[in-house]
Amino acid sequence: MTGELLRIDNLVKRFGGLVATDHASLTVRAGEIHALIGPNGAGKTTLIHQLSGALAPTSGRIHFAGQDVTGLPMHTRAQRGLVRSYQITSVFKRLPVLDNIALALQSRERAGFWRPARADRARYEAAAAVAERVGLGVQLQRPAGALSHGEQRQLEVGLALALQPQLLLLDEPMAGMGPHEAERMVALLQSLRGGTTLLLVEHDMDAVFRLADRISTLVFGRVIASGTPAEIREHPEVRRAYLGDELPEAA
Amino acid sequence: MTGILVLEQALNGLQFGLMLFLLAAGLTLVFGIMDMINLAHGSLYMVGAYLIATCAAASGSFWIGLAAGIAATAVIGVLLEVTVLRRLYQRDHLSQVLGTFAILLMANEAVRMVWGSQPVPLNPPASLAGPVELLPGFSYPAYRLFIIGVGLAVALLLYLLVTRTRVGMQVRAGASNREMALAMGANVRGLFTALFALGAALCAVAGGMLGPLLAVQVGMGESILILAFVVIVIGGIGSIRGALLGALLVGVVDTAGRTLVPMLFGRLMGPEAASSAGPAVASILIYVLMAAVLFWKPKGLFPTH
Amino acid sequence: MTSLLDHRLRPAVAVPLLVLLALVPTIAGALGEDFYVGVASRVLVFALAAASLNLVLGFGGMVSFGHAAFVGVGAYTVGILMQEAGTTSAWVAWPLAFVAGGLFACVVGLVSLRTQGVYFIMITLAFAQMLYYLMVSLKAYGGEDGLPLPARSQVGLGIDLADDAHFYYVVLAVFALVFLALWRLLNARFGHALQGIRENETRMEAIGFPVYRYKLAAFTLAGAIAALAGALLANQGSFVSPAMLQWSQSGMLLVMVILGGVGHLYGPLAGAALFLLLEEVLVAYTIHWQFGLGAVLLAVVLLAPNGLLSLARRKGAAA
Repeated sequence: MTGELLRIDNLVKRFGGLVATDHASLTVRAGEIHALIGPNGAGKTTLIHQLSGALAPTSGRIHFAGQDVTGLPMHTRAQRGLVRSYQITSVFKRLPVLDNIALALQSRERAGFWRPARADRARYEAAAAVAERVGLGVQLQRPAGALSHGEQRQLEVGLALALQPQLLLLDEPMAGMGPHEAERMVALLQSLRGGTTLLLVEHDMDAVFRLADRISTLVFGRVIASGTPAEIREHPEVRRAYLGDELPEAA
Repeated sequence: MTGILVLEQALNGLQFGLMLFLLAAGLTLVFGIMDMINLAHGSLYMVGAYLIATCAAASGSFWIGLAAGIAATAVIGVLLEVTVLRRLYQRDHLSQVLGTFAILLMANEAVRMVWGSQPVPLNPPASLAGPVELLPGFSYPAYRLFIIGVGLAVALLLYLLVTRTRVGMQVRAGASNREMALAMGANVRGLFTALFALGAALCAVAGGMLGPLLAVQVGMGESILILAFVVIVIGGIGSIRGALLGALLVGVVDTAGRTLVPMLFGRLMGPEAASSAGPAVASILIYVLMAAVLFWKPKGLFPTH
Repeated sequence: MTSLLDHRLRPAVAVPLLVLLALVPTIAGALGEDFYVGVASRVLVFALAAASLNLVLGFGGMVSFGHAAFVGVGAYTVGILMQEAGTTSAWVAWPLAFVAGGLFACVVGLVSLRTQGVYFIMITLAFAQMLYYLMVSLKAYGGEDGLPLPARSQVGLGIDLADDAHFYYVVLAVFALVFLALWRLLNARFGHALQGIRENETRMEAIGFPVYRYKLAAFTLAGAIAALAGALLANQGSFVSPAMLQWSQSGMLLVMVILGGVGHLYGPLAGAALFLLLEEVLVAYTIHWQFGLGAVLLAVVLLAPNGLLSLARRKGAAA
């Protein structure tokens, strides 16, 4: 896969007097892992909201897979392959893991009104496979709310993965994870390389510099730099934005 | 439609609106801060009116009846809060609906048991029984002017309370962010109980004021409760300012609508339409108003969050 | 495996229950208390209305405070057809009532479902109030006094609805059919999606479900079923009045659903039965029966938070 999968053109989002997204522009190439970093309050989640369709931008355009999706509702974007996962875990807490993922898979099918959903064996088998992929293979029957935080984050990603997205928007997938769990998540994300394009927002710099093919830096709602990890590491504005925070040295 | 008629309707609307505000203020605070839907709020208004009527009859004085009734209703509000309502704060809205609906049923029946099914008389004080000449040729009942005065005074008091006192600050903090207010050390239990007592007192004042104009009877709380909910939705839940503006809007639209719409229909379409469609449209007006406000401002005029 | 999404018919419960219900006229006749056949009809009619509310509330998570309006639409359809068109056939009037209810619900839903939370509650209430005031003002259809029906609808096939027992069997048949249809619907993909929306609406949208469309579909169907209940209610009392549209009636329906257990298949039946039977018992006992009713409701809220059937689920199901 080559070429540009996602292009954000001069996106602006205003909340009254506050400019959360200030003419942000960036491109994500097909097949790459693209990280979005930036200090707190830079507007990363707001940007993800606009990409996924949860928030309408004040102005600017979003192009996905060659089409202008700026006005499309969230569910349409998800159907077209632009899927997000949430920073604050948003799963179906009262339902078992298997049902969580099966619901995601169901969105691809037409509504049925008579035949029992449980009779769709293929779908439940596929759901079990996705669960296995994200490391929840043995937890199928457990209510999502009973999972540990790290496992819930895995399910969070699993729900998005189940849709076989072209572009996966990950909002801090490693939020609140310990080193062990973070390691597992990194491995999972790396395994997606080539098939699924990833745009991930992350604070965990270690993970970012290990995973990312390219990095964009968001400061005060504006993309101030976009390039390879090496370029970003040396970028004066990026270093200034982090006020001397240690960016990982070249390995 | 003479200017005097319009003026009279405006004053009537102002008067009704201010009384609606008294109910809406308590309701919006409880909903905004405790996040509780309280269908029994109208019952406090009813109980207040009944108690004031009884005390006034027993003592022979409207003023004593008013004072005693307000105090007694506040006490009942506190008792209600401490025994039952407190347990509903943490529950979902549906449970609150069911629980407070149950209290509403019990209150209606309790009043019927104590006072019977016939309306109880409540007369305005003799000193306010006559008309006052506001403009040459335009007289307006002194009692209604008094109600407007009371309403404005209470509104001012509430404003001072909410903006100038520590308690008021906690209330405003609680309305916009409950968890934060708790973390900052607001004495939650005491605050909630005090709020309830205040809300109950306000209901009693409204009940006592409106009692002489509308009838003091069982079920008087239901119709005004719906209006109060419409008011707080229009005004924005948790906002006293919103409750005032919403109440004035609803009060004026509802009152003036009832007189002016049938007149308008009569002029344009004849007496048949005036008597059949007129009242219907007048009743529907406030809901159209609410829909219009929500369309323009989905969270009400002054949303707190 | 079972989860919240699954709703078992439980033939071990359903069959005896159906048999028992079918025998009500026989038993009542044997006891010489034919009056109770009418009571039982009322219970089933309200159970039908409550079941439609449970569809949107219990399974869809939409708190509708204007559901009585749809019941009223169905009732008035029957009444108006009888008066204006002389239509007495149930085969014409009842399906029309169903359609009318669905249409009205669709319109209300189109507007209301754009809102959330308490605003949704208020807008649904507002629509119901508007319809109420409209019917009060239409003197042609009885206005505030209501519209008496000259007779119950005609069914033909040797069934005479004027006979309370026949009427009861027809109501039971309608209820059973709708109940079965709802059972299938809830366990089908549509039902799973609807419940998913109840559980986490934002996530459902994010994983590709057109949430608004699902809610609107459920709301429309619920309105249609409620209108069907309204048609039966009009027949039950041979009377239609705006009182059927009052918000206290919407409140009562909510209470029935909550009492029986929100989101449980048998909840509405249990809730309607409990509420109306309690009312019957208390009415006979004291003139102040509403106090007792309120007290019982309050006790249920405080002690059985998820409605009565949740107690059964806790004890029975180990899933």
